[in-house]
Amino acid sequence: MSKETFLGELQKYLEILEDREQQDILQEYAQHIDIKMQNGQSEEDAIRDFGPVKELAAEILEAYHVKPEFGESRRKPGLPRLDSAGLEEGGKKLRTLGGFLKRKAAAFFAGAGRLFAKAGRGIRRALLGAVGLFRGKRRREAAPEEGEAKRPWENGLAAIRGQENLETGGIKMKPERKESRQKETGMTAIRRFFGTLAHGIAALILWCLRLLWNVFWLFCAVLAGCFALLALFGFGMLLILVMQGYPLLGTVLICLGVFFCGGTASWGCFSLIRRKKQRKEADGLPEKGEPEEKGEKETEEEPEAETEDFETEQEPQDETMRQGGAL
Amino acid sequence: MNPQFKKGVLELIVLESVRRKDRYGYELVEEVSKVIDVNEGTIYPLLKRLTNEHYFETYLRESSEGPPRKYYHLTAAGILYRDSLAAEWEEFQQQVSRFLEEGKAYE
Repeated sequence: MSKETFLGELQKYLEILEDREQQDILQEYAQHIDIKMQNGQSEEDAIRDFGPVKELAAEILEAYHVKPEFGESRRKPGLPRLDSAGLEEGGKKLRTLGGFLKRKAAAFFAGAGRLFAKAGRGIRRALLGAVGLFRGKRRREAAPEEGEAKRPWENGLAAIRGQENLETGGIKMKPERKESRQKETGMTAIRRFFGTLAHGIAALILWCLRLLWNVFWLFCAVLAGCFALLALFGFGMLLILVMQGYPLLGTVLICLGVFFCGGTASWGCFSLIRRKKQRKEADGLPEKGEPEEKGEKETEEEPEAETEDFETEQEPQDETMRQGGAL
Repeated sequence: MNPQFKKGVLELIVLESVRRKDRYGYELVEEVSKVIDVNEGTIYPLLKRLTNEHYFETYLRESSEGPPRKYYHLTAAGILYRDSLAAEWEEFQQQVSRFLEEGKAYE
């Protein structure tokens, strides 16, 4: 065995140690071999005196209070390496995989957004054509009527489209296109109709989100409230027991604490509930959502700023989505 | 010699060698080999351990031939440890020889 192979093999066993320690040990052995060779011994003999590398390594590791078998198990080929380099590699792989999935998802959503935008434009054009024909023969008022007539199925389709668009940021594209493309002056009524429709759908989705939000917080509030009441009940009961001389003062205090905690949490959740309403009035939304909403409204009185926040929260998401798609 | 004997006493011999004079690895191996026949490889792990336990300090000193050498120096803790080991050895060795002496009565 040559000096290099001996040192290389020894290093493999010592991989668990810090690089500096490894170098330190290997240097000692290298020097030892060098001196022996200077004294006239052959390289082979000098190394043979050390005995089997494995035993030597085990003894060195013992000096560091490291299990000698550790080096062994790591050297088995089938086993996954658990050193930091391996972990890092795994992390990198995961990260690249994550990036890949993200990019794919972004591309998919962007693609879907474009598809729906295209479909929307196609439908609009078809509608415009149809309305144009009518206009040729009938009075101007026919146009809005036609729009109204189409409403039921268009509504459903647009709802789906709107939903998809909200996710992909397609909603932004639509109004722009609409404004830039239109030339016929007689179409303004239809345009407005579509504008309000898109608005309505967007508002409907926002409303649904808000409803979810509210229901969630309402649930939390009720839960916390129940806890508080339960704690209050326990507090009362235990207080009586304390009066009777039971050593339950600690539990009583805990109950009191839980009551206050629950009460505060409940109040906090309730304060988070109230959303929109004022905004809805300002927007002049279609009446659709109103009746279902009434139950909720009683608890709602709304600082305007909060709704604004909610809106702006949505916008950047769309932006990033689109940027991701562009990439 | 029985390797178990060697193993136990090797530490004491190494400590004693370094106490007399600061030495570098190879020199120490030679010194120890004069007393007991020992696998050269096993001395370095021992030096490592004793250094990790702060019984030895190390420093580098230039040598006329080859790279600088790492010298081992016995610390105060090392001296105490060496003394306690030596005392243990004395007692152990005396007990064993006394026992063996007693055995002669049975012959």
